[in-house]
Amino acid sequence: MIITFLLYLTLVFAIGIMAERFITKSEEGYYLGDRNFGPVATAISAGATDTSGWIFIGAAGYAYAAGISTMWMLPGFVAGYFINWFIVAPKLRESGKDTNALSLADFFGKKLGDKTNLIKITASIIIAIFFIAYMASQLTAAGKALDSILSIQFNTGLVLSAAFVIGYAIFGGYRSVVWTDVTQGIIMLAVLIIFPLYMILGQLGGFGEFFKTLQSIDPILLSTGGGSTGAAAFGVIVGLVGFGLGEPGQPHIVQRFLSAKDEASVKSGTIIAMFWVIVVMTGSNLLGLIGRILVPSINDPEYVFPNLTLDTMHPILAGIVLGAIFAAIQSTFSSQLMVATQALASDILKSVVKKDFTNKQLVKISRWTMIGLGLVATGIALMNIEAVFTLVLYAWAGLGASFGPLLIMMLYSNFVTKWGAFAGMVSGAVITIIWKETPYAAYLYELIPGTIAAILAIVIVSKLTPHQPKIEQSPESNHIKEQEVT
Amino acid sequence: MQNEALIWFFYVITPVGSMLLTILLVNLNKRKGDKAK
Repeated sequence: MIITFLLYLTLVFAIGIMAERFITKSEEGYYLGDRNFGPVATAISAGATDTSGWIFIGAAGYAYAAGISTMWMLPGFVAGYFINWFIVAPKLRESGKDTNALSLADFFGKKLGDKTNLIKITASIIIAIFFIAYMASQLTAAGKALDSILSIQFNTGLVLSAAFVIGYAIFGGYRSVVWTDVTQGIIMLAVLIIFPLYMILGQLGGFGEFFKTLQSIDPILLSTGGGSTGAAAFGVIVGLVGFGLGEPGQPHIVQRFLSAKDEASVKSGTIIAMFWVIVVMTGSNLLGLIGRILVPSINDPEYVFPNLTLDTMHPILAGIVLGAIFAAIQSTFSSQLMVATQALASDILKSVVKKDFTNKQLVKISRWTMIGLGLVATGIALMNIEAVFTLVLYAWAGLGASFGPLLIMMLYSNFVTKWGAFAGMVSGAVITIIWKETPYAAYLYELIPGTIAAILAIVIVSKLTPHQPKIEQSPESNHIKEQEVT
Repeated sequence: MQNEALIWFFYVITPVGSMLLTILLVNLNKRKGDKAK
């Protein structure tokens, strides 16, 4: 098992390091891979980035505890993917290229003609805050997986996982992150299709028998609201469907649209992306339910998939499954590390220290920032304060509410002003944080009030404030001096 | 079995329906793009 797992790690690391050879001389090369990714790379990388360790650890654990009702997430995610791929992706790719935007924060600032960089800095701060929580959750998932499958002590496993991802992301930049995402995505997809089908059809007597067994264990497992009834069930369902609606505001996912090569890549990528989300959501739900039958007594539901793997799989296959769990964790962690680094080392730094950096200096700054951010996320994960499921959903809500409504409004209208955008981002983030601390959070997912607050703030403040004059874009607008990256 | 309709909705109708709808919309978009050219 360990050998198979080490083979997986070696493959990923080699691909990540190899990507360094293909970094071009510009900042666009380091942060966007020269906007040169086709449909497969764009769709699988977006999917693998979107699908974090949460899917194998958090979501499978939730299905283990609450049953088929967690599948309410699927219609929500399908809706979120529709919005992302049909509404956001084509326009953002085009508009991002026109404005020469290198990130979501950069796009907001340039599109609004914000000379003070208020928008770019605010967006970057929100990204950094929520991404650190998100990255910490990925490391927690890694610690749990290594602890249960390889009996590596939780904290040691967590630190080793962080060191590994930072190790490959630091060299090859965005290109290495996308290449490793694609490799990792294919492994995840294979495991999420083959494992549940093999278990249900081969070991549990087919789908009919599978659902009958679940009902005999506990009828709640097949209920509409996971045991909740009336208004509480309605709140649970709205919350579950609502998860997917956070898709359009996730900076690490929409970054893939900025780096897509052309319109055809987005169109063909849409079909791959939709296939991806259906397989991933259904697969992880089935894994949790299978675990309920085969490993009925575990203390922490988030250990269900690792335990299931250990109890039912041949060691070589268990190594591949562990690789898939790690693929999910690493693909998200590396992408977020990249985007958070860009937010701090490029967007904020260049806005505050208004000076020209050479590409060599920028890459050096980025690499050190990456190490710093990785260490902070590792520190938070070591505190082990929240379950993976809770931490991911919290960050997901904060980012979705802060950026989703704003991005769509900015792509399809010209009425958003600088202050409207500022008010929208801040309200989305603040209401998410406040709502989470209220008793209502148990009934309604914070993304929904956060999004409503952001929409209202954008509309009202934009009506009351004037538009900024547009900035002329030029190649120098990124403060880049052409110089070889080494 | 309890909630058989729900099982069909979650595991058959939503996945298959979403996939078919996506393929249809992408092809419609492509045709629209080709016509515009």
